[in-house]
Amino acid sequence: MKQNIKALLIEDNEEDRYIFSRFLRKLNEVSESLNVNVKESKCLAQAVEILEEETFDIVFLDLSLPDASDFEGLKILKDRFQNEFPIIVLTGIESEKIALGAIRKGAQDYLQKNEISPYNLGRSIIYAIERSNTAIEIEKLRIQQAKSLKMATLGEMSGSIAHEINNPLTIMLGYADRIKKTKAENIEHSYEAADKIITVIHRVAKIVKSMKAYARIDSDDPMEVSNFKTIIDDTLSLCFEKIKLSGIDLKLGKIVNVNLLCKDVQISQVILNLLNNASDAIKDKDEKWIEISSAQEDDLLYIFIADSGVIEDPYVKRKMFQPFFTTKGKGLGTGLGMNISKNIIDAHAGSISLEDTLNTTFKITLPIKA
Amino acid sequence: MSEYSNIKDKIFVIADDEDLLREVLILELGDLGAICLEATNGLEAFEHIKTNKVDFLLSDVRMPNSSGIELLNLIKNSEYANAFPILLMSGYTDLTKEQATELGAITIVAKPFSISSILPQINDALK
Repeated sequence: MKQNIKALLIEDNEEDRYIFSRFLRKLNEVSESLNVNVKESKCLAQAVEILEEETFDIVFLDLSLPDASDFEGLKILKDRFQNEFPIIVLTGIESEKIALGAIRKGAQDYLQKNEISPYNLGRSIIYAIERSNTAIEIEKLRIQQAKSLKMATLGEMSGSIAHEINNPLTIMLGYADRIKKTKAENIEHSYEAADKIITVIHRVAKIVKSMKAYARIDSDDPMEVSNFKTIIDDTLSLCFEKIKLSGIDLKLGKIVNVNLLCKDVQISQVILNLLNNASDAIKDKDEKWIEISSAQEDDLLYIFIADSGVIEDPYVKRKMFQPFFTTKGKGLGTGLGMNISKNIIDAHAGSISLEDTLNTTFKITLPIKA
Repeated sequence: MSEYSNIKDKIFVIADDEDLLREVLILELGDLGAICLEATNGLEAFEHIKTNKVDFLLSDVRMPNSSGIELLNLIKNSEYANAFPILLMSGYTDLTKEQATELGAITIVAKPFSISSILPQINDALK
């Protein structure tokens, strides 16, 4: 039983189209597993129209089209259709640089036109589809992993968040009781009590808002302009209680008032992760402090998260951003926090590193584009 | 005469790191004639216990620097063991009632609670 493959060929040169179609027919004759049906398109614009209407198992893309030269076409297709279909790039010239560039920009394979045979064409199609499926699976797992890490972090904090909500509720009950008991001639006392209730209601509302924002599925969020100070505020309202209860002195240095083009929930996640790690690392030390500060230099924002701990082991320094590496005890750390943090910061065109300082200091660099 | 007459003129230690919660507890107990000493953690509370003839301790479980559990252990191993009734307050299910009584408390109440609901227990314990 042969697998039916629907292919789209994007090629402006008529002769090349003819030759390619002939190879495909030949492939269908000799292949035991593939039966390829090809649709042709002469330019990228037309191909995009077709791709929006129909689904394809594979796309062959010539690198020199009249309306998209070099990697332009590849970029347009990737931006628009992401991983909907695998792409095999066709190139007229032999160049390792072009081949590597195409793969890095998201193509699954490349074929040099004058070296195509039914055999390497069939192999390339099968491999490209397999690679593409694997990439989609990896992406799904990555999103799943990031989500479960976020939920685990939230779960870890649920105790202190409950504490942080139940305290205001007790205060509200207390003052509401006092209002009920207030006699008419002392009515102004009830205004004071009501003000206290309002104050703590705002506190609870803020925690709930931060939690809701944090727990949202954010992988499809667009980059949006967010205020850095607000991000820090929201993050701290989630973990302030936990840090305070561990007896850690939380020092707030300069927080620059800038706007960032970012996924704010993800930046918050990175900061929360670093704060959580810091408080876990120092909770049994005599000297316990965490300091958050920031600085702006031209169009770059630097965020510093330092704590009273020290990382001496060069092995830990080298491995800390790798997935599944953890210094926390068994069942305590997923080993994903730092890796996911790095991925998030990388996706924001920034960087995260451990500073060469006496105390543990992480430095996050983010571009300011707003 | 108030229905909670045992509370009058008694010395209370209120240990909780939440300022507004201490405040409303003190207002309520103050209305009933109690004298309240404030503490934001276990060690501060223990200082009050050492320097005053305390009649009742109302303490939170989770507090920064030294928790309610540490405080109760300190008391248990000191000359102040069983010297006065203790009521624990908890914002999160940290402890069971059995664990609380083992530590020397008369009981543990879960936040949120209304103060009027704990007054009978406090009054009875002060008999």
